[in-house]
Amino acid sequence: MRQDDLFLTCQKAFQERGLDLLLGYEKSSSGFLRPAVFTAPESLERISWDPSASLNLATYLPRFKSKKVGILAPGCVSRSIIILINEGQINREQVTIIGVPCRGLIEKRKLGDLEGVRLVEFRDESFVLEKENQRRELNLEDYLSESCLSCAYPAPVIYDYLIQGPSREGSKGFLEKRIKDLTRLSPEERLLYFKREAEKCIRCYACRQACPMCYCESCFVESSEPRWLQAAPEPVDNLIWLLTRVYHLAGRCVQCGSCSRACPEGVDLMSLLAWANQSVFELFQYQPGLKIGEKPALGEYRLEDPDFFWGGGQTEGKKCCS
Amino acid sequence: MEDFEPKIIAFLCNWCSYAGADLAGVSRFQYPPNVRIIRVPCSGRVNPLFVLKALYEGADGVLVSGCHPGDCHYQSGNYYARRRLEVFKNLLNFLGLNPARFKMAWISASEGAQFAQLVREYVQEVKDAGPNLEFVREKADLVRFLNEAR
Repeated sequence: MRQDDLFLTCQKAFQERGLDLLLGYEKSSSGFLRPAVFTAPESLERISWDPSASLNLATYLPRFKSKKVGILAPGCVSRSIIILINEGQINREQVTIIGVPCRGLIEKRKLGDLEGVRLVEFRDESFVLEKENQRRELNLEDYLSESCLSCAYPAPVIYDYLIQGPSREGSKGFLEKRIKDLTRLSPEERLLYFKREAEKCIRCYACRQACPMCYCESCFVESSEPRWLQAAPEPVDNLIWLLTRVYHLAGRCVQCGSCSRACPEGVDLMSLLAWANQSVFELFQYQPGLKIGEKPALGEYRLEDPDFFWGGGQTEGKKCCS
Repeated sequence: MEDFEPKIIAFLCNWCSYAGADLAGVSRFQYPPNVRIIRVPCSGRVNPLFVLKALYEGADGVLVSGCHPGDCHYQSGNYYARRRLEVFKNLLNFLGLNPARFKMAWISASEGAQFAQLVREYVQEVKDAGPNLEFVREKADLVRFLNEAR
């Protein structure tokens, strides 16, 4: 993907569509990308896209309901946009999607201490870091996010403009394997694992803020009437917070990994999210964010849905929830 | 745990299961007194947070029951509930919570005997599972303390 191609396409989109603003990334002083809002075509010279991006930009879309917005979108962001459209949060006409190829996004946590580190450049299969004039070349694949390692749709699903370039090959497997490993444990061991994960949580809600699907104006976790759980980061309260957020995202999450990258404590959010999506898929054959006009999986029903209720029809022989 | 008497919160829909429970009483079907019934307008009203909140506040088991598919007073509430609660149940099981902590059932207004049987079965299930130590705030601290002391 060429920088001038990105710049010219965005500029063209800006002018042709009469955009009010364009959501993209720019380089920060450390060389890593940070989200940026471009309000004039001239400022687009700074626009940039590479695997050091972290946040899913669709998170900002519901805030600009009355504006014409352009947005840089790799596969996951384009799928988030589809869900936001399907859930009535934004209009299709109002967004201009500039599809970008995606080679996966790096997980900064895997890089360790980044104090004084500068990101120099991305090459075909590697990237270069610099610290005190010493350069280090690292293999891109080793530092990708968990979500990107099991991304089935790296290339944009819908777009108005498309920037050419190589995308990662769609591959499932990483999180699926993690889930398999976890289901092989005994329930007690699994509960212990998730409790340990929940104990790390400091309840900063960075995961929620980074999530394009968490657009509710008031969140259950801050509700005081009824007060579902305490605000203090106690293990059980954390577990309820994680669990309920995951449930609210079941069949809506595109597994972009934005929450997981935003988490300062490295809580294993992805295996719960992937499991929720996988069980929605197994029960209802539903995959989120692929088709405009679809209802969310838990917002509709079919008469012939599987039934595991006591006294229901299909409980014998089959087992819900392996 | 011979003398363990579990507390079970039952969310029963107004139109079928609550009437079913009533019928069980009127017909003098015996069932254990461990269930505390909360009447809800429809099984579709049950937010999975109700279940978590009940466990969090100290319940040992939670039962959600509504009209059989096709019988919903509001046409479709139980179909939504079916999808949502099954996904939720899957999540709880993946988390490793004892499956006895949460049960879903269909009970119609004419199924007094079945309601009594359901409660008998479920109370036994929860008794076998033991008290809820995993999901209660105060007890969770205690369990952690005991684990660390071990």
